[in-house]
Amino acid sequence: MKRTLFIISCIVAISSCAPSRYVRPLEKGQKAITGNFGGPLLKFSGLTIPLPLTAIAVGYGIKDGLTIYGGMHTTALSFGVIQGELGVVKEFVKPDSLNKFKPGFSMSYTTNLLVDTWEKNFKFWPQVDANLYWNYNLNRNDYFYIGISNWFELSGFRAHDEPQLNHWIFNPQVGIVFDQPNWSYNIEAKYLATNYSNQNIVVDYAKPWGENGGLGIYLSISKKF
Amino acid sequence: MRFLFITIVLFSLSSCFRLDSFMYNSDSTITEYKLDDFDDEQDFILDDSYDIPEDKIQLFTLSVGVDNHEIYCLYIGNQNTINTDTVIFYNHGNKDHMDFYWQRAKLLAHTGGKMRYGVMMIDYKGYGLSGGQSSESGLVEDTKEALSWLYDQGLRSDRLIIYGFSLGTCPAITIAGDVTSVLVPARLITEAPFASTDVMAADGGLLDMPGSYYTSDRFENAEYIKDVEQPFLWIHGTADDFLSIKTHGEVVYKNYDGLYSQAERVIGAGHSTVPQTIGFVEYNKLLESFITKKI
Repeated sequence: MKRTLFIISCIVAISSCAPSRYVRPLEKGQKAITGNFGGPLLKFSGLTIPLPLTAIAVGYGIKDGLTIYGGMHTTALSFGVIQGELGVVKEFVKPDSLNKFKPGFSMSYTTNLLVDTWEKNFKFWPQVDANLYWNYNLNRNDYFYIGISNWFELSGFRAHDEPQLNHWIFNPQVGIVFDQPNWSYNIEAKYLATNYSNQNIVVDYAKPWGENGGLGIYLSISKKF
Repeated sequence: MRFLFITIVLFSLSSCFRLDSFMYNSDSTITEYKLDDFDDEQDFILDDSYDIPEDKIQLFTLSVGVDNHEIYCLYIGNQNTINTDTVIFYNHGNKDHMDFYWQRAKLLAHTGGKMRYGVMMIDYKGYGLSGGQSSESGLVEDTKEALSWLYDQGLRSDRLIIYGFSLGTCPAITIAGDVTSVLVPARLITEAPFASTDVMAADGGLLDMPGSYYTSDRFENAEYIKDVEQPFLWIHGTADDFLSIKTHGEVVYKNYDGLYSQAERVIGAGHSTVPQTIGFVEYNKLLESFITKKI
């Protein structure tokens, strides 16, 4: 059975399928299109590999420090699940342009919307991310960030009218963005579902930190206009 | 780059597919059944005292469905006395084929003593030498065909026990609650049952995610068990790292509302190690005790 779970995991790992969007908001009027690849690491055929989850997103800087974005998860789509996301990211503190040790701070809110084309089951999950980021090289726009990504399950029940006990999924993350005028490149690592056991579930996630959570690795590339 | 993105989107939109076939971990590469000579991976291997005389092992085929797919069947016991014997029908799990489960079938054939009960096992469509494609409905269809064969040999419902393990609990529970089946078991035993694919999805993703997001095979054991009236024995390892006793087994057990239920939570046993953990002798005693219990 377990060899099949590589594929199944592509879908069930929905809560861990994308990196943080636009940690540092776009400039006013700036647009970006982003593609990302990666997901939680799991064991498959003796190897530990990231799930090849893919998504595309577009962002628009509606004013300085405020960017809206929307995305579509292409891997889920290929399995007949329309998974979209709509969100906004706001910069509350700008990083100090003279002191590379003083970080900026942003928060984002995302609504994750899913419906399958087979039985039309619809679900949505809110997501709130918060990140601190540093322009570690004042001569460049590259930045490094750490933060938390939080998913919330609002349903009081799960299958078969059993009580839903998992309402808050907490994912600390760290990433780096290599930012150039027209392009940016991002790699991010998440400690997925830190607050939940990874034991006795069908998916054989890699467990670098013992019995809780898993590790996700994501790569993304953005084209800015 | 824009072209690349568009390509990805179009590819994705045009390639919607289901994961149903990936649910089944069958091996159809074998050319023959080896039984005792099978030397590939197995959960356990019994010693010689569990050997079955060759003349009490029958391998045969049945045709199933409108496509007349051949499925392979194994009967341990005397086919000529099925009309008076009690038979344990073993719905095996999701691994490979009957060779993998041969040791388990032999062990069942020692419940209450050597070949006290007849034991029948089949390879579902797509498993081992059986033709066709595996599916949830196919598991039930194949089992019903085998039960029809047992009926034709003279077996009646009051002498039928169905034992389902893991994936095999799907046809076992479905048929136990289906009064239209040609044979309905007098007693039902499940080992490490699924609750449903909804629970599999929710366990894997932590969120309340519908199983329909990845498969149309639902394995709704937690619902189908509500239709079962017969005495029910549920066995599950507390250390099952594949189908959690808490989210799968306990839910199935809780939803049973029939005549009599018995739960055996096997401390320390994993998904495939219940018989070994209990001990083979005690395992057989447990089954015999349930089968012969006056209710």
